[in-house]
Amino acid sequence: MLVLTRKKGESILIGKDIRITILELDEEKMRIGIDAPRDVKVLREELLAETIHSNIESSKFQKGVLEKLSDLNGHA
Amino acid sequence: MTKTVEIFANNLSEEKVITFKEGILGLEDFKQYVLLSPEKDLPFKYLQYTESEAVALIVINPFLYMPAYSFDIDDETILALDAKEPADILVLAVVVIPDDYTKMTANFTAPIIINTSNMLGKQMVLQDAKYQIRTPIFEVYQELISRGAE
Repeated sequence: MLVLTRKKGESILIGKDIRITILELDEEKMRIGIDAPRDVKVLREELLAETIHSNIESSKFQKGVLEKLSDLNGHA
Repeated sequence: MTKTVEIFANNLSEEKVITFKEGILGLEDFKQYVLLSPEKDLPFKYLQYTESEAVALIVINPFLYMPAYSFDIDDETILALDAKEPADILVLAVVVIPDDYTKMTANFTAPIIINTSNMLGKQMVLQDAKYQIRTPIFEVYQELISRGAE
């Protein structure tokens, strides 16, 4: 991994059309500005991981739960 | 015979197959699905993998549960689905139903987008943090079934 040190307001260029700028800094977090073409996908990594987790959970649903839900419908 | 197996056997041949060229996130090897309705009139559907009845995701129409839901489909998804007409687009949200079903949630951050004109599908992760991956939906679910919505 390439490691660079940047100060507030400084940027990093990746290729010809991606610019990452450090906007604000404090001890716990920083705000980053990203200029990139629309076809470059920028994602918070944890969103991808959590979506993968919830998809797998959804695919393993318990049939019994669905029967309970159907009963709920019957009594509604 | 389990509920899903019945649904699988009854409906599979009648339904159009949806192809996810990249699979669904976390389920990359499973590429072809059909969208099935439960036997009873419940406000969700199954995204059933065509090659094994054991793999099915529970999905909802997110606009039914959250009328103000809105987002832009990104260029990558439009390109991947060869999407041309907004009217062709079907949006689904993936639901997790735990043993305590009152804690059911839907993922409004990573909608499944389907182009119904060519039956290509893709799951898209929204870039902004407007919506939650685990949005509680049980209260709305109850409202919907008491209203008898489809």
